[in-house]
Amino acid sequence: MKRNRPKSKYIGISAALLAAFLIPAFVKSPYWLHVFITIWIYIIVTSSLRFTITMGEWSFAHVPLMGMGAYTSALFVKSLGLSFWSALPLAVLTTAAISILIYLPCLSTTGTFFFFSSFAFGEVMRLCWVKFQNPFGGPMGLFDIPYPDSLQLPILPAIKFGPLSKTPFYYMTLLFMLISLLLLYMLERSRLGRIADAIRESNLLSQFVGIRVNGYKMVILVIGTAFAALGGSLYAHYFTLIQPDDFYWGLGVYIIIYLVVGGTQRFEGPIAGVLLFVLLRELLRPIVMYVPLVYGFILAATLAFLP
Amino acid sequence: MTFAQFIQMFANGTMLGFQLSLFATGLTLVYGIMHIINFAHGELYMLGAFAVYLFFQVFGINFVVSLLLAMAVVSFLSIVIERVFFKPMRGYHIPSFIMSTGLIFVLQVMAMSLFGVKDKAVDSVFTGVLKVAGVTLSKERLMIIPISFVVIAAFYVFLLRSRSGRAMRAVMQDPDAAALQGVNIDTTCSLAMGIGGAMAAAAGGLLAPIFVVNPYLGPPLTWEGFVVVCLGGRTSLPGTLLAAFIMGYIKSFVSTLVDPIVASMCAAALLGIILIFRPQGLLGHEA
Repeated sequence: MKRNRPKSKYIGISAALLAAFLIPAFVKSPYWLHVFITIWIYIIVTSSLRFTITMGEWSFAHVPLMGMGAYTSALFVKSLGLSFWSALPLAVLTTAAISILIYLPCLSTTGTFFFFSSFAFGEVMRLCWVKFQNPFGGPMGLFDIPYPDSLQLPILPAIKFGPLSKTPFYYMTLLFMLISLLLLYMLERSRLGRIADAIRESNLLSQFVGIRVNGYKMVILVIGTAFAALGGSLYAHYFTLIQPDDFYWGLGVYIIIYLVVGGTQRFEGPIAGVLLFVLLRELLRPIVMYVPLVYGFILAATLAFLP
Repeated sequence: MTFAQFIQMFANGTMLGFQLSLFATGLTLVYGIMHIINFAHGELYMLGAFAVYLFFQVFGINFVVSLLLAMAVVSFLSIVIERVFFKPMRGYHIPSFIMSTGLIFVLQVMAMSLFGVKDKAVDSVFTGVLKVAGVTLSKERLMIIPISFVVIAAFYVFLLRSRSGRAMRAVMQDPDAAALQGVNIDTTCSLAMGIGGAMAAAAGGLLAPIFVVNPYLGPPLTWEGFVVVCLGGRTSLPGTLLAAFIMGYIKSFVSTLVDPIVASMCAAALLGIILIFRPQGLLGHEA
Protein backbone atom coordinates (compact mmCIF):
# COMPACT_ATOMS: atom_id res chain seq x y z
CA MET A 1 0.00 0.00 0.00
CA LYS A 2 1.48 3.28 -1.04
CA ARG A 3 1.48 6.02 1.49
CA ASN A 4 0.24 9.25 0.06
CA ARG A 5 -1.57 10.15 3.21
CA PRO A 6 -1.24 13.91 3.48
CA LYS A 7 -3.56 14.72 0.59
CA SER A 8 -6.26 12.18 1.37
CA LYS A 9 -5.88 13.06 5.03
CA TYR A 10 -6.66 16.72 4.44
CA ILE A 11 -9.61 15.83 2.23
CA GLY A 12 -10.89 13.48 4.93
CA ILE A 13 -10.50 16.05 7.68
CA SER A 14 -12.22 18.78 5.68
CA ALA A 15 -15.08 16.45 4.77
CA ALA A 16 -15.50 15.48 8.42
CA LEU A 17 -15.43 19.12 9.50
CA LEU A 18 -17.95 20.10 6.86
CA ALA A 19 -20.23 17.27 7.91
CA ALA A 20 -19.88 18.22 11.57
CA PHE A 21 -20.76 21.85 10.86
CA LEU A 22 -23.69 20.96 8.62
CA ILE A 23 -25.30 18.40 10.91
CA PRO A 24 -27.64 20.93 12.61
CA ALA A 25 -28.84 22.10 9.20
CA PHE A 26 -30.10 18.65 8.30
CA VAL A 27 -30.79 17.01 11.60
CA LYS A 28 -33.74 18.78 13.12
CA SER A 29 -34.42 16.31 15.89
CA PRO A 30 -33.12 17.76 19.16
CA TYR A 31 -32.54 14.23 20.32
CA TRP A 32 -29.83 13.56 17.75
CA LEU A 33 -28.28 16.96 18.39
CA HIS A 34 -28.12 15.95 22.03
CA VAL A 35 -26.35 12.74 21.05
CA PHE A 36 -23.79 14.69 19.06
CA ILE A 37 -23.25 17.23 21.85
CA THR A 38 -22.42 14.39 24.25
CA ILE A 39 -20.15 12.89 21.61
CA TRP A 40 -18.17 16.13 21.31
CA ILE A 41 -17.82 16.38 25.10
CA TYR A 42 -16.67 12.77 25.38
CA ILE A 43 -14.16 13.30 22.57
CA ILE A 44 -12.58 16.14 24.54
CA VAL A 45 -12.28 13.95 27.63
CA THR A 46 -11.11 10.82 25.82
CA SER A 47 -8.53 12.63 23.71
CA SER A 48 -7.12 14.36 26.76
CA LEU A 49 -6.86 10.98 28.50
CA ARG A 50 -5.01 9.69 25.47
CA PHE A 51 -2.66 12.64 25.72
CA THR A 52 -1.84 11.76 29.33
CA ILE A 53 -1.18 8.11 28.56
CA THR A 54 1.32 8.96 25.83
CA MET A 55 3.82 9.09 28.66
CA GLY A 56 2.95 5.55 29.64
CA GLU A 57 0.98 5.90 32.87
CA TRP A 58 -2.74 5.20 33.02
CA SER A 59 -4.56 7.53 35.37
CA PHE A 60 -7.94 6.57 36.72
CA ALA A 61 -8.38 9.98 38.34
CA HIS A 62 -9.07 11.53 34.94
CA VAL A 63 -12.85 11.20 35.07
CA PRO A 64 -13.14 12.27 38.74
CA LEU A 65 -11.08 15.31 37.76
CA MET A 66 -13.47 15.97 34.89
CA GLY A 67 -16.14 15.86 37.58
CA MET A 68 -14.11 18.33 39.60
CA GLY A 69 -14.17 20.63 36.58
CA ALA A 70 -17.93 20.24 36.39
CA TYR A 71 -18.39 20.90 40.11
CA THR A 72 -16.08 23.89 40.32
CA SER A 73 -17.58 25.46 37.23
CA ALA A 74 -21.12 24.91 38.51
CA LEU A 75 -20.20 26.31 41.92
CA PHE A 76 -18.48 29.39 40.47
CA VAL A 77 -21.66 30.21 38.58
CA LYS A 78 -24.19 29.17 41.22
CA SER A 79 -22.55 30.34 44.42
CA LEU A 80 -20.29 33.17 43.31
CA GLY A 81 -22.60 34.40 40.58
CA LEU A 82 -19.93 34.54 37.91
CA SER A 83 -20.83 34.32 34.26
CA PHE A 84 -20.25 31.01 32.52
CA TRP A 85 -17.60 32.57 30.30
CA SER A 86 -15.42 33.51 33.25
CA ALA A 87 -16.30 30.42 35.28
CA LEU A 88 -15.08 28.10 32.53
CA PRO A 89 -11.42 29.21 32.51
CA LEU A 90 -11.46 29.56 36.30
CA ALA A 91 -12.77 26.01 36.67
CA VAL A 92 -10.09 24.74 34.31
CA LEU A 93 -7.37 26.49 36.31
CA THR A 94 -8.73 25.36 39.68
CA THR A 95 -9.02 21.78 38.55
CA ALA A 96 -5.51 21.85 37.12
CA ALA A 97 -4.29 23.10 40.50
CA ILE A 98 -6.19 20.34 42.31
CA SER A 99 -4.74 17.77 39.94
CA ILE A 100 -1.24 18.87 40.97
CA LEU A 101 -2.16 18.09 44.58
CA ILE A 102 -3.54 14.71 43.59
CA TYR A 103 -0.82 13.62 41.21
CA LEU A 104 2.06 14.86 43.35
CA PRO A 105 1.88 11.88 45.71
CA CYS A 106 0.77 9.50 42.96
CA LEU A 107 3.83 10.22 40.84
CA SER A 108 6.14 8.59 43.33
CA THR A 109 4.67 5.36 41.98
CA THR A 110 4.60 3.92 38.48
CA GLY A 111 2.66 1.41 36.40
CA THR A 112 -0.06 -0.53 38.16
CA PHE A 113 0.65 1.29 41.41
CA PHE A 114 0.08 4.62 39.73
CA PHE A 115 -3.17 3.34 38.31
CA PHE A 116 -4.38 2.19 41.71
CA SER A 117 -3.22 5.21 43.65
CA SER A 118 -4.87 7.57 41.17
CA PHE A 119 -7.96 5.39 41.51
CA ALA A 120 -7.79 5.80 45.29
CA PHE A 121 -7.45 9.59 45.21
CA GLY A 122 -10.21 9.90 42.62
CA GLU A 123 -12.41 7.88 44.93
CA VAL A 124 -11.56 10.12 47.90
CA MET A 125 -12.56 13.10 45.77
CA ARG A 126 -15.88 11.52 44.80
CA LEU A 127 -16.62 10.63 48.42
CA CYS A 128 -15.97 14.26 49.35
CA TRP A 129 -18.75 15.30 46.97
CA VAL A 130 -21.05 12.73 48.54
CA LYS A 131 -20.10 13.67 52.06
CA PHE A 132 -20.12 17.44 52.05
CA GLN A 133 -23.67 18.60 51.60
CA ASN A 134 -22.80 22.27 51.78
CA PRO A 135 -20.88 23.16 48.67
CA PHE A 136 -21.31 19.95 46.68
CA GLY A 137 -24.93 19.02 47.40
CA GLY A 138 -24.25 15.55 48.78
CA PRO A 139 -25.40 12.41 46.97
CA MET A 140 -28.14 14.35 45.19
CA GLY A 141 -25.55 16.47 43.44
CA LEU A 142 -26.02 19.99 42.14
CA PHE A 143 -29.08 20.87 40.14
CA ASP A 144 -30.44 23.98 38.44
CA ILE A 145 -27.01 24.85 37.15
CA PRO A 146 -27.57 27.91 34.96
CA TYR A 147 -27.20 27.63 31.23
CA PRO A 148 -24.37 29.70 29.76
CA ASP A 149 -25.22 33.40 29.51
CA SER A 150 -26.15 34.65 26.13
CA LEU A 151 -23.21 35.75 24.11
CA GLN A 152 -22.99 38.95 22.09
CA LEU A 153 -20.64 38.52 19.20
CA PRO A 154 -19.75 41.55 17.02
CA ILE A 155 -21.60 40.72 13.83
CA LEU A 156 -24.08 38.02 14.74
CA PRO A 157 -27.25 38.46 16.74
CA ALA A 158 -27.03 37.51 20.41
CA ILE A 159 -26.66 33.80 20.96
CA LYS A 160 -28.95 32.49 23.66
CA PHE A 161 -28.46 29.19 25.44
CA GLY A 162 -31.46 27.48 26.87
CA PRO A 163 -33.20 24.16 27.24
CA LEU A 164 -35.02 24.46 23.94
CA SER A 165 -32.21 25.56 21.68
CA LYS A 166 -29.69 22.83 21.15
CA THR A 167 -28.05 24.38 18.12
CA PRO A 168 -25.96 27.00 19.97
CA PHE A 169 -24.80 24.29 22.34
CA TYR A 170 -23.95 22.12 19.41
CA TYR A 171 -21.69 24.73 17.86
CA MET A 172 -20.20 25.73 21.20
CA THR A 173 -19.18 22.17 22.11
CA LEU A 174 -18.04 21.51 18.55
CA LEU A 175 -15.81 24.59 18.60
CA PHE A 176 -14.41 23.76 22.01
CA MET A 177 -13.73 20.24 20.85
CA LEU A 178 -11.96 21.39 17.69
CA ILE A 179 -9.84 23.88 19.61
CA SER A 180 -8.92 21.22 22.17
CA LEU A 181 -8.07 18.69 19.49
CA LEU A 182 -5.93 21.22 17.67
CA LEU A 183 -4.08 22.16 20.86
CA LEU A 184 -3.59 18.53 21.85
CA TYR A 185 -2.33 17.71 18.38
CA MET A 186 0.14 20.59 18.45
CA LEU A 187 1.31 19.61 21.92
CA GLU A 188 1.80 16.07 20.81
CA ARG A 189 3.88 17.11 17.84
CA SER A 190 5.88 19.51 19.97
CA ARG A 191 8.95 18.84 22.07
CA LEU A 192 6.68 17.86 24.95
CA GLY A 193 5.09 15.09 22.90
CA ARG A 194 8.46 13.68 21.96
CA ILE A 195 9.56 13.77 25.57
CA ALA A 196 6.37 11.87 26.45
CA ASP A 197 7.28 9.20 23.90
CA ALA A 198 10.75 8.96 25.33
CA ILE A 199 9.43 8.53 28.86
CA ARG A 200 7.01 5.84 27.71
CA GLU A 201 9.65 3.90 25.86
CA SER A 202 12.22 4.02 28.60
CA ASN A 203 11.88 5.81 31.87
CA LEU A 204 15.47 5.13 32.86
CA LEU A 205 17.00 6.09 29.53
CA SER A 206 15.08 9.37 29.53
CA GLN A 207 16.61 10.16 32.89
CA PHE A 208 20.03 9.47 31.46
CA VAL A 209 19.62 11.94 28.64
CA GLY A 210 18.63 14.58 31.14
CA ILE A 211 14.85 14.61 31.04
CA ARG A 212 13.27 15.36 34.38
CA VAL A 213 10.85 12.47 34.15
CA ASN A 214 8.51 13.27 37.00
CA GLY A 215 8.39 16.97 36.18
CA TYR A 216 7.35 16.27 32.62
CA LYS A 217 4.88 13.60 33.67
CA MET A 218 3.28 16.17 35.93
CA VAL A 219 3.14 18.77 33.17
CA ILE A 220 1.48 16.27 30.85
CA LEU A 221 -1.02 15.14 33.48
CA VAL A 222 -1.93 18.70 34.37
CA ILE A 223 -2.46 19.65 30.73
CA GLY A 224 -4.60 16.56 30.20
CA THR A 225 -6.60 17.40 33.31
CA ALA A 226 -7.21 20.94 32.10
CA PHE A 227 -8.91 19.59 28.98
CA ALA A 228 -10.89 17.08 31.04
CA ALA A 229 -12.05 19.98 33.24
CA LEU A 230 -13.13 21.86 30.13
CA GLY A 231 -15.21 18.84 29.13
CA GLY A 232 -16.60 18.64 32.66
CA SER A 233 -17.57 22.29 32.69
CA LEU A 234 -19.39 21.96 29.37
CA TYR A 235 -21.08 18.84 30.72
CA ALA A 236 -22.29 20.62 33.85
CA HIS A 237 -23.75 23.58 31.99
CA TYR A 238 -25.29 21.46 29.30
CA PHE A 239 -26.97 18.86 31.50
CA THR A 240 -27.57 21.43 34.33
CA LEU A 241 -27.54 18.54 36.80
CA ILE A 242 -24.46 16.80 38.13
CA GLN A 243 -24.28 14.01 40.66
CA PRO A 244 -21.27 12.34 42.23
CA ASP A 245 -22.15 9.08 40.51
CA ASP A 246 -21.94 10.71 37.07
CA PHE A 247 -18.18 10.73 37.45
CA TYR A 248 -17.88 7.39 39.17
CA TRP A 249 -16.02 4.55 37.61
CA GLY A 250 -18.91 3.80 35.24
CA LEU A 251 -17.96 6.74 33.06
CA GLY A 252 -14.28 6.21 33.86
CA VAL A 253 -14.43 2.70 32.48
CA TYR A 254 -16.43 3.77 29.45
CA ILE A 255 -13.88 6.45 28.59
CA ILE A 256 -11.10 3.88 28.85
CA ILE A 257 -13.10 1.50 26.65
CA TYR A 258 -13.63 4.19 24.01
CA LEU A 259 -9.93 4.85 24.08
CA VAL A 260 -8.80 1.24 23.95
CA VAL A 261 -11.17 0.18 21.20
CA GLY A 262 -10.45 3.33 19.20
CA GLY A 263 -6.75 2.76 19.62
CA THR A 264 -4.22 4.49 21.82
CA GLN A 265 -1.46 4.68 19.25
CA ARG A 266 -3.06 7.15 16.87
CA PHE A 267 -4.44 10.61 17.43
CA GLU A 268 -7.72 9.69 15.68
CA GLY A 269 -8.23 6.68 17.95
CA PRO A 270 -10.32 8.25 20.70
CA ILE A 271 -12.47 10.11 18.17
CA ALA A 272 -13.25 6.88 16.35
CA GLY A 273 -13.88 5.03 19.60
CA VAL A 274 -16.33 7.59 20.96
CA LEU A 275 -18.21 7.83 17.66
CA LEU A 276 -18.42 4.07 17.31
CA PHE A 277 -19.67 3.38 20.80
CA VAL A 278 -22.07 6.27 21.28
CA LEU A 279 -23.67 5.81 17.87
CA LEU A 280 -23.85 2.07 18.48
CA ARG A 281 -25.66 2.73 21.73
CA GLU A 282 -28.20 4.89 19.94
CA LEU A 283 -28.74 2.33 17.20
CA LEU A 284 -29.21 -0.41 19.77
CA ARG A 285 -31.64 1.69 21.81
CA PRO A 286 -34.48 -0.88 21.31
CA ILE A 287 -32.47 -3.56 23.07
CA VAL A 288 -30.81 -1.21 25.53
CA MET A 289 -30.58 -3.89 28.19
CA TYR A 290 -28.12 -5.88 26.14
CA VAL A 291 -25.92 -2.98 25.12
CA PRO A 292 -23.30 -3.68 27.82
CA LEU A 293 -23.13 -7.23 26.48
CA VAL A 294 -22.34 -5.94 23.00
CA TYR A 295 -19.78 -3.53 24.48
CA GLY A 296 -18.18 -6.35 26.40
CA PHE A 297 -17.83 -8.51 23.34
CA ILE A 298 -16.47 -5.72 21.15
CA LEU A 299 -13.93 -5.02 23.85
CA ALA A 300 -12.93 -8.66 24.18
CA ALA A 301 -12.64 -8.99 20.41
CA THR A 302 -10.54 -5.82 20.17
CA LEU A 303 -8.16 -6.96 22.86
CA ALA A 304 -7.90 -10.45 21.40
CA PHE A 305 -7.47 -9.59 17.73
CA LEU A 306 -6.20 -5.99 17.53
CA PRO A 307 -3.88 -5.51 20.46
CA MET B 1 -19.45 4.02 73.39
CA THR B 2 -20.53 1.35 75.79
CA PHE B 3 -18.94 -2.05 76.18
CA ALA B 4 -21.92 -3.72 74.45
CA GLN B 5 -21.57 -1.41 71.45
CA PHE B 6 -17.89 -2.15 71.27
CA ILE B 7 -18.51 -5.90 71.22
CA GLN B 8 -21.16 -5.51 68.54
CA MET B 9 -18.90 -3.44 66.35
CA PHE B 10 -16.11 -5.91 66.94
CA ALA B 11 -18.33 -8.84 65.93
CA ASN B 12 -19.49 -6.98 62.85
CA GLY B 13 -15.93 -6.13 61.93
CA THR B 14 -14.91 -9.77 62.33
CA MET B 15 -17.74 -10.80 60.07
CA LEU B 16 -16.75 -8.25 57.43
CA GLY B 17 -13.15 -9.35 57.82
CA PHE B 18 -14.07 -12.95 57.06
CA GLN B 19 -16.19 -11.89 54.12
CA LEU B 20 -13.36 -9.82 52.69
CA SER B 21 -10.82 -12.59 53.35
CA LEU B 22 -12.89 -15.07 51.40
CA PHE B 23 -13.34 -12.58 48.61
CA ALA B 24 -9.85 -11.14 48.41
CA THR B 25 -8.01 -14.45 48.66
CA GLY B 26 -9.29 -15.28 45.19
CA LEU B 27 -8.12 -11.91 43.90
CA THR B 28 -4.67 -12.41 45.40
CA LEU B 29 -4.42 -15.88 43.88
CA VAL B 30 -5.40 -14.66 40.43
CA TYR B 31 -3.07 -11.68 40.66
CA GLY B 32 -0.22 -13.64 42.17
CA ILE B 33 -0.34 -16.51 39.72
CA MET B 34 -1.49 -14.96 36.45
CA HIS B 35 -0.71 -11.26 37.06
CA ILE B 36 -4.21 -10.39 36.04
CA ILE B 37 -6.20 -7.55 37.57
CA ASN B 38 -9.58 -9.21 37.68
CA PHE B 39 -12.20 -6.52 38.21
CA ALA B 40 -14.91 -9.04 37.40
CA HIS B 41 -14.25 -10.87 40.66
CA GLY B 42 -17.17 -9.07 42.29
CA GLU B 43 -19.44 -10.47 39.61
CA LEU B 44 -18.46 -13.99 40.71
CA TYR B 45 -19.52 -12.99 44.21
CA MET B 46 -22.80 -11.71 42.80
CA LEU B 47 -23.35 -14.91 40.82
CA GLY B 48 -22.61 -16.95 43.94
CA ALA B 49 -25.29 -15.02 45.80
CA PHE B 50 -27.72 -15.62 42.95
CA ALA B 51 -26.87 -19.31 42.83
CA VAL B 52 -27.65 -19.64 46.53
CA TYR B 53 -30.87 -17.73 45.94
CA LEU B 54 -31.75 -20.17 43.16
CA PHE B 55 -30.87 -23.40 44.94
CA PHE B 56 -31.96 -22.46 48.45
CA GLN B 57 -34.87 -20.10 47.92
CA VAL B 58 -36.38 -21.38 44.69
CA PHE B 59 -35.56 -25.10 44.75
CA GLY B 60 -35.61 -25.38 48.54
CA ILE B 61 -32.38 -27.35 48.92
CA ASN B 62 -30.57 -27.37 52.28
CA PHE B 63 -28.54 -24.18 52.82
CA VAL B 64 -25.13 -25.81 53.21
CA VAL B 65 -25.72 -28.03 50.20
CA SER B 66 -26.81 -25.09 48.08
CA LEU B 67 -23.77 -23.15 49.21
CA LEU B 68 -21.56 -26.01 48.03
CA LEU B 69 -23.50 -26.25 44.76
CA ALA B 70 -23.12 -22.49 44.22
CA MET B 71 -19.39 -22.78 44.83
CA ALA B 72 -19.15 -25.60 42.28
CA VAL B 73 -21.16 -23.76 39.62
CA VAL B 74 -19.28 -20.48 39.98
CA SER B 75 -15.97 -22.29 40.11
CA PHE B 76 -16.77 -24.00 36.81
CA LEU B 77 -17.81 -20.68 35.29
CA SER B 78 -14.61 -18.98 36.41
CA ILE B 79 -12.49 -21.72 34.88
CA VAL B 80 -14.31 -21.16 31.59
CA ILE B 81 -13.68 -17.40 31.94
CA GLU B 82 -10.03 -18.03 32.62
CA ARG B 83 -9.65 -20.28 29.59
CA VAL B 84 -11.51 -18.03 27.18
CA PHE B 85 -10.77 -14.49 28.29
CA PHE B 86 -7.77 -14.36 30.60
CA LYS B 87 -5.36 -16.77 29.00
CA PRO B 88 -4.04 -14.29 26.42
CA MET B 89 -3.92 -11.52 29.06
CA ARG B 90 -1.56 -13.16 31.52
CA GLY B 91 1.02 -10.72 32.76
CA TYR B 92 -0.54 -7.64 31.15
CA HIS B 93 -2.02 -5.49 33.90
CA ILE B 94 -3.91 -2.74 32.13
CA PRO B 95 -5.28 -4.86 29.25
CA SER B 96 -6.48 -7.48 31.73
CA PHE B 97 -8.15 -4.75 33.76
CA ILE B 98 -9.96 -3.54 30.65
CA MET B 99 -10.88 -7.08 29.64
CA SER B 100 -12.33 -7.80 33.05
CA THR B 101 -14.38 -4.60 33.01
CA GLY B 102 -15.82 -5.87 29.73
CA LEU B 103 -16.63 -9.07 31.60
CA ILE B 104 -18.42 -7.08 34.30
CA PHE B 105 -20.87 -5.87 31.66
CA VAL B 106 -21.33 -9.33 30.21
CA LEU B 107 -21.91 -11.03 33.56
CA GLN B 108 -24.19 -8.27 34.84
CA VAL B 109 -26.37 -8.53 31.76
CA MET B 110 -26.42 -12.30 32.14
CA ALA B 111 -27.60 -12.06 35.74
CA MET B 112 -30.06 -9.35 34.81
CA SER B 113 -31.71 -11.35 32.03
CA LEU B 114 -31.79 -14.53 34.12
CA PHE B 115 -33.02 -13.08 37.39
CA GLY B 116 -34.29 -9.56 36.68
CA VAL B 117 -33.09 -6.31 38.20
CA LYS B 118 -35.21 -6.39 41.34
CA ASP B 119 -33.68 -7.01 44.74
CA LYS B 120 -34.12 -10.59 45.83
CA ALA B 121 -34.35 -11.56 49.47
CA VAL B 122 -33.11 -14.89 50.74
CA ASP B 123 -34.75 -16.28 53.88
CA SER B 124 -32.72 -16.35 57.03
CA VAL B 125 -31.23 -19.69 57.84
CA PHE B 126 -30.25 -19.12 61.43
CA THR B 127 -32.79 -17.02 63.22
CA GLY B 128 -32.78 -15.48 66.64
CA VAL B 129 -30.23 -13.57 68.64
CA LEU B 130 -27.56 -14.50 71.07
CA LYS B 131 -27.46 -12.58 74.33
CA VAL B 132 -24.26 -12.67 76.30
CA ALA B 133 -23.76 -10.32 79.24
CA GLY B 134 -26.08 -7.68 77.90
CA VAL B 135 -24.65 -7.84 74.39
CA THR B 136 -27.11 -8.73 71.67
CA LEU B 137 -25.71 -10.41 68.58
CA SER B 138 -27.65 -11.80 65.66
CA LYS B 139 -26.97 -15.51 65.21
CA GLU B 140 -27.29 -15.16 61.48
CA ARG B 141 -24.31 -12.82 61.33
CA LEU B 142 -22.31 -14.83 63.84
CA MET B 143 -22.73 -18.03 61.83
CA ILE B 144 -20.76 -16.48 59.00
CA ILE B 145 -17.65 -16.58 61.12
CA PRO B 146 -17.33 -20.39 61.62
CA ILE B 147 -18.42 -21.23 58.07
CA SER B 148 -15.93 -18.86 56.45
CA PHE B 149 -13.30 -20.03 58.88
CA VAL B 150 -13.85 -23.61 57.70
CA VAL B 151 -13.62 -22.59 54.03
CA ILE B 152 -10.46 -20.53 54.56
CA ALA B 153 -8.87 -23.25 56.68
CA ALA B 154 -9.68 -25.86 54.04
CA PHE B 155 -8.05 -23.65 51.45
CA TYR B 156 -4.91 -23.23 53.54
CA VAL B 157 -4.66 -26.98 54.17
CA PHE B 158 -4.94 -27.50 50.45
CA LEU B 159 -2.37 -24.81 49.73
CA LEU B 160 0.18 -26.01 52.28
CA ARG B 161 -0.27 -29.76 52.15
CA SER B 162 -1.35 -30.87 48.68
CA ARG B 163 0.74 -31.20 45.57
CA SER B 164 -1.36 -28.75 43.56
CA GLY B 165 -1.20 -26.28 46.42
CA ARG B 166 2.58 -26.46 46.41
CA ALA B 167 2.51 -25.99 42.64
CA MET B 168 0.46 -22.86 43.15
CA ARG B 169 2.89 -21.41 45.65
CA ALA B 170 5.75 -22.25 43.33
CA VAL B 171 4.14 -20.45 40.42
CA MET B 172 3.48 -17.43 42.61
CA GLN B 173 7.15 -17.26 43.49
CA ASP B 174 8.59 -17.79 40.05
CA PRO B 175 6.57 -19.11 37.11
CA ASP B 176 9.58 -19.94 34.94
CA ALA B 177 11.35 -21.92 37.61
CA ALA B 178 8.11 -23.70 38.45
CA ALA B 179 7.57 -24.62 34.81
CA LEU B 180 11.12 -25.98 34.66
CA GLN B 181 10.32 -28.19 37.63
CA GLY B 182 7.44 -29.71 35.68
CA VAL B 183 4.56 -27.66 37.04
CA ASN B 184 1.79 -27.32 34.50
CA ILE B 185 1.20 -23.56 34.42
CA ASP B 186 -2.10 -23.72 32.54
CA THR B 187 -3.63 -26.21 34.95
CA THR B 188 -2.40 -24.21 37.92
CA CYS B 189 -3.89 -21.01 36.53
CA SER B 190 -7.26 -22.64 35.95
CA LEU B 191 -7.17 -24.15 39.41
CA ALA B 192 -6.36 -20.79 40.99
CA MET B 193 -9.18 -19.10 39.14
CA GLY B 194 -11.56 -21.94 40.03
CA ILE B 195 -10.69 -21.76 43.72
CA GLY B 196 -10.90 -17.97 43.68
CA GLY B 197 -14.33 -18.16 42.06
CA ALA B 198 -15.51 -20.75 44.58
CA MET B 199 -14.40 -18.61 47.51
CA ALA B 200 -16.02 -15.50 46.07
CA ALA B 201 -19.22 -17.51 45.58
CA ALA B 202 -18.99 -18.73 49.18
CA ALA B 203 -18.76 -15.13 50.38
CA GLY B 204 -21.70 -14.13 48.19
CA GLY B 205 -23.79 -17.09 49.26
CA LEU B 206 -23.09 -16.58 52.96
CA LEU B 207 -24.07 -12.93 52.86
CA ALA B 208 -27.13 -13.47 50.64
CA PRO B 209 -29.50 -14.01 53.60
CA ILE B 210 -28.21 -10.86 55.34
CA PHE B 211 -28.20 -8.40 52.48
CA VAL B 212 -30.34 -8.40 49.34
CA VAL B 213 -29.25 -9.99 46.08
CA ASN B 214 -29.20 -7.96 42.86
CA PRO B 215 -27.06 -7.86 39.71
CA TYR B 216 -25.11 -4.80 40.90
CA LEU B 217 -23.51 -6.23 44.02
CA GLY B 218 -20.15 -6.73 42.37
CA PRO B 219 -18.24 -3.51 41.60
CA PRO B 220 -18.25 -1.86 45.07
CA LEU B 221 -17.00 -5.08 46.63
CA THR B 222 -14.35 -5.53 43.94
CA TRP B 223 -13.06 -2.11 44.82
CA GLU B 224 -12.82 -3.02 48.51
CA GLY B 225 -11.22 -6.31 47.53
CA PHE B 226 -8.51 -4.43 45.67
CA VAL B 227 -7.87 -2.14 48.58
CA VAL B 228 -7.36 -5.28 50.68
CA VAL B 229 -5.12 -6.93 48.10
CA CYS B 230 -2.89 -3.87 47.68
CA LEU B 231 -2.78 -3.30 51.41
CA GLY B 232 -1.80 -6.88 52.09
CA GLY B 233 1.00 -6.95 49.59
CA ARG B 234 -0.72 -8.18 46.42
CA THR B 235 0.90 -11.60 46.20
CA SER B 236 0.96 -12.43 49.88
CA LEU B 237 -1.93 -14.61 51.07
CA PRO B 238 -1.32 -14.06 54.82
CA GLY B 239 -1.06 -10.34 54.04
CA THR B 240 -4.47 -10.50 52.39
CA LEU B 241 -6.00 -12.02 55.52
CA LEU B 242 -4.41 -9.40 57.76
CA ALA B 243 -5.51 -6.58 55.47
CA ALA B 244 -9.03 -8.00 55.20
CA PHE B 245 -9.44 -7.84 58.96
CA ILE B 246 -7.96 -4.34 59.17
CA MET B 247 -10.45 -3.25 56.52
CA GLY B 248 -13.31 -5.06 58.23
CA TYR B 249 -12.65 -3.32 61.55
CA ILE B 250 -12.15 0.08 59.91
CA LYS B 251 -15.44 -0.30 58.08
CA SER B 252 -17.31 -1.50 61.13
CA PHE B 253 -15.96 1.00 63.65
CA VAL B 254 -15.80 4.10 61.47
CA SER B 255 -19.21 3.41 59.91
CA THR B 256 -20.82 3.14 63.32
CA LEU B 257 -18.95 5.93 65.06
CA VAL B 258 -18.76 8.46 62.22
CA ASP B 259 -20.59 7.43 59.04
CA PRO B 260 -20.19 4.97 56.15
CA ILE B 261 -18.96 7.56 53.67
CA VAL B 262 -16.08 8.52 55.93
CA ALA B 263 -15.32 4.80 56.30
CA SER B 264 -15.00 4.38 52.52
CA MET B 265 -12.93 7.56 52.42
CA CYS B 266 -10.56 6.17 55.05
CA ALA B 267 -10.21 2.96 53.06
CA ALA B 268 -9.41 4.78 49.82
CA ALA B 269 -7.00 7.16 51.52
CA LEU B 270 -5.32 4.23 53.25
CA LEU B 271 -4.82 2.56 49.88
CA GLY B 272 -3.30 5.70 48.40
CA ILE B 273 -0.98 6.20 51.35
CA ILE B 274 0.11 2.56 51.43
CA LEU B 275 0.85 2.54 47.72
CA ILE B 276 2.97 5.65 48.03
CA PHE B 277 4.94 4.90 51.17
CA ARG B 278 5.03 1.12 51.14
CA PRO B 279 4.24 -0.06 47.62
CA GLN B 280 4.93 -3.66 48.52
CA GLY B 281 2.07 -3.61 51.03
CA LEU B 282 2.05 -4.76 54.63
CA LEU B 283 3.42 -8.27 54.21
CA GLY B 284 4.62 -8.22 50.61
CA HIS B 285 8.25 -8.67 49.75
CA GLU B 286 8.69 -7.78 46.09
CA ALA B 287 9.62 -4.18 45.46
